[in-house]
Amino acid sequence: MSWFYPFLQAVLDGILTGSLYALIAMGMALIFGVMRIVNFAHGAFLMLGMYATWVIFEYGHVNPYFGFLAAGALLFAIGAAVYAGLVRHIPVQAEFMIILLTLGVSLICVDTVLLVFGADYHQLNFPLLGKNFRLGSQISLNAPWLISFGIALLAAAGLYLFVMRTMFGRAARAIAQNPYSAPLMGINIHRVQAVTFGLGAAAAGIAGGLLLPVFYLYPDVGHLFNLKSFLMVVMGGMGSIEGAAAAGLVLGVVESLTSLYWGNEWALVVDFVIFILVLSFRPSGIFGSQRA
Amino acid sequence: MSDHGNPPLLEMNEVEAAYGDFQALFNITLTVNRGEIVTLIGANGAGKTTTLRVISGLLRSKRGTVKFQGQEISKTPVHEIVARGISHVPEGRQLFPYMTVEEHLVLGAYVDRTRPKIPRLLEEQYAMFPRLKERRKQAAGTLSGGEQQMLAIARGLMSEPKLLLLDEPSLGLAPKLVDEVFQKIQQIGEKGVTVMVVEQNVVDGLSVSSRGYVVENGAILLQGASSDLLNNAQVRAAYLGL
Repeated sequence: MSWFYPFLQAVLDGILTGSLYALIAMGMALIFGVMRIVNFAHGAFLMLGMYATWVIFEYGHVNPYFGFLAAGALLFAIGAAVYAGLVRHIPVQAEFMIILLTLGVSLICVDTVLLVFGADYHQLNFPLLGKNFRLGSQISLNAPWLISFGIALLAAAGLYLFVMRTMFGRAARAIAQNPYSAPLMGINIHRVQAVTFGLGAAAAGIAGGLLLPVFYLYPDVGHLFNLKSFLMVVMGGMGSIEGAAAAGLVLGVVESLTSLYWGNEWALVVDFVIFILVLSFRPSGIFGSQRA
Repeated sequence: MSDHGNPPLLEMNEVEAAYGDFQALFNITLTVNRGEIVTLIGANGAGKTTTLRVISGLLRSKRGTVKFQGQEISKTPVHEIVARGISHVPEGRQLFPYMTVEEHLVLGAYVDRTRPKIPRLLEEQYAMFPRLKERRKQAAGTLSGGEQQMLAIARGLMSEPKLLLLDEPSLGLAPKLVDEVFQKIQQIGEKGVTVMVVEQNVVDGLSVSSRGYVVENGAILLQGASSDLLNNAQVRAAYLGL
């Protein structure tokens, strides 16, 4: 049984990481599902959420477990503004232009942060970080990861219920399923899409705030998450937010087990092998058909 | 006169419209009065669907005026036109394939005016379309063609329109269902909703309406009481093969 506890530990760690992946991917899936836009600024939005939380911790001494709320609000505003100011003026058919646009937004965010805060790595330092929560003698879970996990779960559930149960969510799903007839219901497409873009960005911002205590911070940190969240959206079935969430949890566990058995440096390799396999054999995703 | 007293519900005056370089409407002038059912007939590509798209705002006219209850609406956004009381049931039903019947109906009442009345409006539609009540938890994509058409019409009624635009409601339906659809249109008219229906099914379309317009090459060719149009030699030759 000597293999069991390390395995269980890795699976649990993977679920903790995966919950943040899930939240990030849900934000991207929401934007993709409703607008058919792959938002390549998603990682940059996550990075902005991390920096926002870090700034108010460093200068305002606000605990990041409250600070993430401000990051979410800020990113909601930025997301809605990017939609209203830029995305909505590009014709729907011009997919390539949208890719360039979101990449451009991403570059602007990263370079602005680089100019303002420099290229240094930062890490939070507060007493909670070293604390661990022990389960029996063999398993221990890092306290800030546990808290981030709990909040990410709540945020993900909240986002899911908002999309599935409210009139706003119905309107967003109507646009996803039939953009031609949605306005005939009286839906103001541009307003709903601006809010959707804002919510997707806010999910990244909140995830960034929750990631900050357990990760390190530098201007290009979002780059990695951009690719990963795109991978999770594809795995989840392009545009399905629950599929993306499931993919996030799976990816977290797979990475954690890869690190345990093969070493950390293989985690990204395994991610992209999975990505290629999914694209080759199940391009409509593992967890569901195409829908929002 | 249209600008005082009680103007017609809808007035289109010399409307022109185009898809890019392709001009689809050259001169559409028509009126719809409160409480009537008006049919637009004409061949494929004559401009019937385009006329409805201009009224509901899905397509912007190039020239001419569109007045609803005496107010110009040709620059009003689609969602505001719905809020003012025009409901467009598009050709091919255009449902949301993964949503249930009931979700469609709830979305139909999206505008602020009807949101508080959703429970009552649902009951009204279920009373009129009992099949939809049986299937209320079913996804629209799994319904039969006739049920889908009924759902599209019921969804259109949820916004309590003053003017209901129906584009080819009988398209692709079996003859028995076609009869049922036209019965429903008659019932809707009897409830006081003004209806404008576009049809290629000339006999059924005209027999359910009081007046009709014949559209050809993007312009109104003929107009008159439906019974007169049904007996018109030109109409009989062109559309009924008589």
